[in-house]
Amino acid sequence: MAGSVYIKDRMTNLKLAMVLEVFTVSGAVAGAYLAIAMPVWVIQALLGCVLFYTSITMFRERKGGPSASDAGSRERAEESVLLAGEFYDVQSSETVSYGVKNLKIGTVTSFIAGAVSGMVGIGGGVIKVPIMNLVMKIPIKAAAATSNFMVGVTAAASAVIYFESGLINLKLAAPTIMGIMIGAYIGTKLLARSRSTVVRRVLAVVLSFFGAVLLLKAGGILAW
Amino acid sequence: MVTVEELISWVLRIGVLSGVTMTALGFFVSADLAWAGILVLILTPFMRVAMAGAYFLCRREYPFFFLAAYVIMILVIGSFLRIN
Repeated sequence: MAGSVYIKDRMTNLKLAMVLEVFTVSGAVAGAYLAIAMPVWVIQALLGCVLFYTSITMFRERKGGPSASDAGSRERAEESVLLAGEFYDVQSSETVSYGVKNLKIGTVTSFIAGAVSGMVGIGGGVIKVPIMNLVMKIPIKAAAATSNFMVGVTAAASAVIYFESGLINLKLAAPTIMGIMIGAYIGTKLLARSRSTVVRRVLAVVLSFFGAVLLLKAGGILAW
Repeated sequence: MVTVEELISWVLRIGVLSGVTMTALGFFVSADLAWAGILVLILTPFMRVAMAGAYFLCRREYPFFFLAAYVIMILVIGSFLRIN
């Protein structure tokens, strides 16, 4: 639902999503096999630490968008013109144009994000949005929308396997879907109207929450 | 003139809304309908990649078309994999 609104508003960067999706989907498949070889608690602990670190970085970055802060680093970082995008920000009522930087790091981390989301069962979005925003210097709203497009595809890749294997719990899935739909609808409306700084803060809080949950799970304190 | 973004957006909307409606109705009426709804929801992202691929093909942006084709290929292979 959210994805459809973002695409219509051109907040989703389709080309970037396609490039990163190749790596995420490959990662998701690799993750299924890696999960067998590696103890789950190790993955959870590692990811928990990564999320905490990302959360702190998100909080520290003062500016709403990355545009102002990287004027100096512009010469150093390669910028991919081919993947550049722009969208209309309803909140600030201005058109935001941006380039994509550090594409190589972005693709590698997308692969890892895909693998991790397959192994731990959390959306790869919590990794992808910070990477796109902090490393690839994409405005937070475009990063959120693009990640939204990708998460559905990555999730579908593993969901099909679970569906075929008869591992989906209908009594659990049906009510959850209803709740998610309402939440996603409200979230989508909110994102367009929120200030970028607020979006980043919310994300930082969410990252800390997931980080804490993962570390507690790794330590065997949380059982779900 | 309908833009490609709008077209993809509508496909997603129809897919998600029909999937959710089927799942919700099926929860009370029949489990088969609910399962079909979940399958529609899972398959909707396949559609969005396929449409993005078609979009790039029409615009002769072949590298991106091949990326989309690769993603669909992986999704199809995935649908043949089983756990256990």
